[in-house]
This record gives sequence, C-alpha cells and structure tokens, in this order.
Amino acid sequence: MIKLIEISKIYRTSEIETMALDNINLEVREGEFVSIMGPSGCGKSTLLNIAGLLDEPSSGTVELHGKPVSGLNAREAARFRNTELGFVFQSFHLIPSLNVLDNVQMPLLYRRMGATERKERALKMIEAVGLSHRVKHFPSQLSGGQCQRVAIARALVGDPSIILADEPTGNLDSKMGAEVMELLHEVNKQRGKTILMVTHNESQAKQTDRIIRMLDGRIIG
Amino acid sequence: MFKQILKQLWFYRRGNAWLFVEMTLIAAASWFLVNAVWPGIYRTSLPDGYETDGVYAVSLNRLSEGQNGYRPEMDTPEQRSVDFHRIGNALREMPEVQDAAPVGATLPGLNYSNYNRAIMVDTVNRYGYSYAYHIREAGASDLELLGYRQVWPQGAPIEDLPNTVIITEDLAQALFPGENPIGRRLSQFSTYQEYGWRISGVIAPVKVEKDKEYRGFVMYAGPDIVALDEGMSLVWIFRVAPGVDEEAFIQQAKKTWREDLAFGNWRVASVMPLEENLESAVTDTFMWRALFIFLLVCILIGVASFAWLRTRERRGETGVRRAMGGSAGSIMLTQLAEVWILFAASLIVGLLIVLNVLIFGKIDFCAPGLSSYYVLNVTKESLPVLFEPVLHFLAVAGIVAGLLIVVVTLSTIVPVAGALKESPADVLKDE
Repeated sequence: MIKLIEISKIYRTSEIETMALDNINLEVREGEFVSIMGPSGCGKSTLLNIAGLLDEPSSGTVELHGKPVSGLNAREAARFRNTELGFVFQSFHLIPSLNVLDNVQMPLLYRRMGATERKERALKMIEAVGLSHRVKHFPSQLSGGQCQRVAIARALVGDPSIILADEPTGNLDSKMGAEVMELLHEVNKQRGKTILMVTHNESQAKQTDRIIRMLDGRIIG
Repeated sequence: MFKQILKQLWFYRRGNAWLFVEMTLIAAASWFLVNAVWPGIYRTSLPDGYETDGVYAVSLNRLSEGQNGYRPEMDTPEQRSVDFHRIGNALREMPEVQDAAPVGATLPGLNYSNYNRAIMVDTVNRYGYSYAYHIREAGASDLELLGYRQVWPQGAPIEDLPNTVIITEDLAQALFPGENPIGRRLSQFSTYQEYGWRISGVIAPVKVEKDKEYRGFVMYAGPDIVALDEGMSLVWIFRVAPGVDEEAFIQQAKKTWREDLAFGNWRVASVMPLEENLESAVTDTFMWRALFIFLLVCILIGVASFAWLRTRERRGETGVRRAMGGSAGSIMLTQLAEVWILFAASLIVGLLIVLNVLIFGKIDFCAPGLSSYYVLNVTKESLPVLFEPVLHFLAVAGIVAGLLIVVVTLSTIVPVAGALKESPADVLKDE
C-alpha cells in the first residue's frame, strides 16, 4: 500500500548539507497501523511528509497502491492527496476563520462536490467523532482534543485509504491523547484505513501493529 | 466556495475593516489625484480648427555678453523689437513662405495679458463684463495663421488699422446681442487713461488664462513696435506656400537660417513643425503633475504593502489547503477573490464619497487644465471624455479602478505564488 524505495532527502544550503533521510526502504501494508518513533531530528516527520507528497525526496521512489507517485506534478499530487490521503497534524492546522463544519468540508470543496452532499458527509463525519454539538464553533472555541477530532474528521471526510498522522497527540494531555488514539484505532479497525503515525509516545506506539524506529535519518528497527 | 470566502472575510472583519477604510479613502483620494493628472495626456490635443499642417516654428535665442558676435548697442528693448520684426519681414519676403506671424509672450501674436471688469460701449459704462485685453503684435492678417478664427466680418478681411479692436464672439454677444458689432466703439475704462477703439473684427472665443472667470477677450492694435523685455521668449511661425517642396525647404532652413536670419543679437535656434514646438512649450503644470503622480505612487505602495502583509500572514493556510488537495489555481483564486471583494466594496464606497463631494461642493471637475499655449479651446465635441461630466467621472473612476486592482492583485499574487512554489511541508511550518 505504501512503499518507500531508497528514499533520501538532503537539505542543502550554500554552506551546509544535511542528510535528513538516508536510503530509507519502508513498506506498509493495507490496513496496517504503523507508528514511527525516534529522537527529535531523526527524520520521522520528513519521512511522513514525503510519504504524503507534502515534500519531494532528493532521490528514491514513493509508491502508493502500487503506483509511483513521487514524480507527479503539483496538480496531480494535489488530486492524489485529496482522494487517497488524509492528514492529521500535531498542531491540528485547522483554518481559524472557518467553523468546524467548514473545516471538515474543505477536502470535499476541492473535489467540486455539490454543497448538499458536502454538508451531509461532513455532518456525518463530525457526528462520528462526537462533535455534532460543536458544528458552528470555531477552532478557537474548542479544546485541543476537540480540535484534533475535527482534524481527524477532516482527514476522513474524503474517505481516503491512507491516514498520515504526525504526532497527533503531541499537543494534548494524556486524557485527550487517549481519546484521540481511541478514535484512530476505531478508524483503523472499523473503517480499514491504513495509518502511518509519527509519535514520541512509547505506550501509544505499542498499541499499534508495528513500530519502526529511526535514528539519524535511517531505520534501525 | 463563495460562501466560504464571505465567511472568512467576516471572520477577519476587524483587520478587513481597516483595509476597507484605507482602500475607500485611497479610492476617493486617487480619484482626485488621477483627475488632476489625467487630462495632462491631452495637453497637446489640438483644438478644432487649429490647422498646423505646413506650419513651422522658428525659435530664437539672443546672444549675450561674451558670446561671439554679441553687439551691446543692439541690446536695448527697442532695438530688440526692431531686429525681431526684421526676422519676420525676411520670412515674409521668402517666396516659399505664404505667411509669417510672431507668437509672442503670452498667447500667439500678443503681448502680456491684463484684465478688467468694466467696459465702455459707445459712451456707456458697463460693469460686470470681465475680460482680458492685450496689445496686438501680429497684424490682423496674421491672426488666421496664429490660430484665431474670424467670425466677423464675414467674407472680408479684418481691417488692420490703428485704434481698432478685435473682440471675441462671446463678448460681442454679451454687449451687442443679435447685432453686427463691426464699427461700434469700445472704451476700456481705466483710472489712468481712457482709450477709444473701433471694433474691426470678431473672432471665435479664445482660451484666456483664467477662462472660467473671464468671458471676453480684447485685442487692441498697438504701436508698430512693441519693446521687448529681457527674458521674453519669442517665436516666429510661418506657413509654407503651396507647391513648395516642404522637406527640402526646411532642410535648407535648418542649415542656413542661423546665419541668413541673423539680425542684431537674434539667432535662429531651431526650425521645427509647430506641433513639436507646442509640445515642448507645455511645461507649466509639469511640477504639479509630477507631485500628484508621486503622491499617487506613494498611496499605491501603501495599498500594496497592506495587501501583501495581509496575504503573507495567512501563508500557512496555503499549506493546509494544499495538504487537503487544493490546487495552486484554486488556492490563488480563493485569496484573490477575498481581496477583490474588499476592493470592489471600497471602490464603490470611495466613488460615492467622491460623487458627494463633487455634487455638494459644486466642483467643476471637468476643467481640464490643458495647455495654455493655444488660443482656441479644445472642444467638447473633440474630447467628450474630458468635458462630459458623467463620461469624465467614469473615465477617471475606471483609471483608478484599474490602478488599484492591478496593485491589490499583484500584492496578493506574489506572496501566494511564493508560498505555492515551496513544498507544502515547508509552508506548513509557518502555520
């Protein structure tokens, strides 16, 4: 489902060259819930961004559903992200000027879906994450856990096959973190979504199907 | 998508309100600035009936002390005038020249302007008739060459005699409504002297310096020689006679006239088509126009900065939208639509403010401030966009709208395009 083949990422400035990822090979099967762990700066988020077509590798190939996607142009990559991928970020990345409903609808806007269908699907997803009573609220009026649940709803509304979560509980307390993890597990088990998650939390990682450990841009376990 | 844009505009209403107010005031101020500058592009428009084909201007300069050929005994006002007219006579004697006339200090063929508010018709004082008056340097027969258009007498030339006066049609209609004024007597009442003059001709209305205030124009036939003061810049214009090889004649003139038409300390500086000469003479409002343009540029930079910052602040949002699958085009359009809606609203309100100021202030905004070098006005028929109030208002509004939309569009496109060039991952770090 997700295949990273000999992926390297080098950041270059006029003075310094930094190898963020060094010849990474990784495969995630359909329906798996995989977590990536490692110390800060080891390249976990860079790996996730490349897998999610948010960044381009310096070399190597990314395959999603058996199809090479690292060579897609910007428009094709956007379309792929919209239909096949869902993102959950540590900082939620909700649009502050849009309410919960509009935030969740956003991926569907870019599919040019009709307003009624869009609203229906969004409301359904908001209900699924238990926030029907907050539909008209803005992100500034929600708790961290609620924001993250909105982000999960947004990630799922387009029915993508793959969810990429970058430290989804990083900004939450343990209770809210546990709630979010429960939701992600539900998404994985009941909806069959493949999840690739970056985390610092060992106990949360142990609850996933597989842990990939990284150090200095390499997979070590 | 449109609903979402409106919601976002409302969400950021505090910041947008400031931008809205700023752009409204700028739209209003820009209208007045553009209105001050814009007619300038028409400043060398030729009035209807002002024929310049085959007419050339001979610009003169005077030698000064220290220059080769300078003769101090020739440097008196009276001698300067004599030598100046010798040039004109020499021109008139050329078979290639149909006619020549002096252009003069103020309007062509005339000495300095003066103004008065009382006039004596026959023996009756009439007050409230503001008019400008001049001593004529050109003969009546030269008036047509200089651009003055004869109305009376019809079918006969104007008599070129002493103690005669030529007046403009608007003054003639005011003083002698429905009558032929030729032969009537006018006096200019003055505290120092009274002059009695016989009307020998009527010409089409002339554009005086303060044409809004003074409705008439009077040209007195003065003495034969008018003393020329220091610093007066004088030009002779001439019309090439029919059948002459104009190009060859002018080429020859440019080569030889500096010597051939050297009289006293006068020297021919240049020979050029009258239209070119008129363009080069239009400088009186340059500084004001330059100032207004500078102010306009400052204002537009202000708008651009504000729009740029506003877009830059939401750079991270671009990354989020791209992560959600938004294409570059749709993201750009979303940002542009927001700023265009703001711009359109502020433009409408700004122009409404302008309209109110113009209407309630009874401001004559169509006064175009065209070149003061012509004797005839550019007319409404030839340039309706300057003179018709509605057309004029809309034309200036269109220019303002065009300038502002280019500025706000570029100020939005550039930062958004910059964010779109980078990877979504890098842009998201700004969020």
